[in-house]
Amino acid sequence: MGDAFETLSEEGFQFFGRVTASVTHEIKNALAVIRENAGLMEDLIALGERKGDLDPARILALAGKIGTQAMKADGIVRNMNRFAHSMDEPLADLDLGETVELLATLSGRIAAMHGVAFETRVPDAPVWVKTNPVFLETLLWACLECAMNAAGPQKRLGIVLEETGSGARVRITGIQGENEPEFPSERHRDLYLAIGAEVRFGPGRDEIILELPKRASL
Amino acid sequence: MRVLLVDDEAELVEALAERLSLRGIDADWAVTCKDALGKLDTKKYDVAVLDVKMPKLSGIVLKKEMEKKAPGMGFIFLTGHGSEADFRAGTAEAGADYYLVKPVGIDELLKKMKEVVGE
Repeated sequence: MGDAFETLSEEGFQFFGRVTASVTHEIKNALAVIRENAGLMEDLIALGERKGDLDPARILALAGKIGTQAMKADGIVRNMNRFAHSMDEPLADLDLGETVELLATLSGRIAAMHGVAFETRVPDAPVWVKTNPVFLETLLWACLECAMNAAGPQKRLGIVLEETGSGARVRITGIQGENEPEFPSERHRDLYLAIGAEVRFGPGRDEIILELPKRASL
Repeated sequence: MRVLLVDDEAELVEALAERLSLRGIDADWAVTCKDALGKLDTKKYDVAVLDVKMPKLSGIVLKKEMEKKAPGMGFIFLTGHGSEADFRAGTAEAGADYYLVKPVGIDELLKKMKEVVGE
């Protein structure tokens, strides 16, 4: 575990920093849209008062845009809050479907910057594992980051969750693994061994496979 | 003054362009780098306001492409970066005239645009 914590102190903080930077950019974008549309509303009202010609439908449409952006910002903050709370417990029961969806959403903007889109596929029923959430999320992020760098020409990455007899499997599809020959590195190995997991490329190196036990022995 | 606003947030540039138009500025907008470069084929702009981080192509790369098509145009960068100083250091190489942090006030933007074109 010592090596794993050393790795986590670098990889984990880097991951946390990248997600935080990306999410706060998204929030600032939403705030900028709110500010400009509120400003435009003020402009139109001032103009309408001067000319005695105010279009209520236009003002309502702008108010609707502002409301939508406020909801968007709220959703971003809620996801970030869930992510931050994953640090609460060293060992927790996780619905992996939720974790996978959360990570895909949080890194969606980073993916877009790579020109890549995620498509998640999770079973209808929850897939539970007991593990260290921070180790798992850092490991999942490492897999996603590798996949983004190695995305195939379609630039669409699948994130597929499957329940297995011994736990669960996450497959990240749509990649050309030969572009990332160093993955998984020794540092990633420290992380996945710490939670009894395994990370490997699939045959043909066109997918990354993360195998997780039902219960991590920490 | 003719201005081209480029940001992948359509609702932002659309509102900003209308606000500038209400202030007598001839403002167009684009949400992709391809659209932005296409607009340069049909119109001459005095200044471009570019978002730094856009999917597929950064504003910094876009600026270099735009300069090839429209030499002499002024540039202002917009960013969601938290610190203007960090942002400025990171984009110094691109050499834009001004760097502004989102959300930016319309009066401040207008002032910078006028400075860029020497009004």
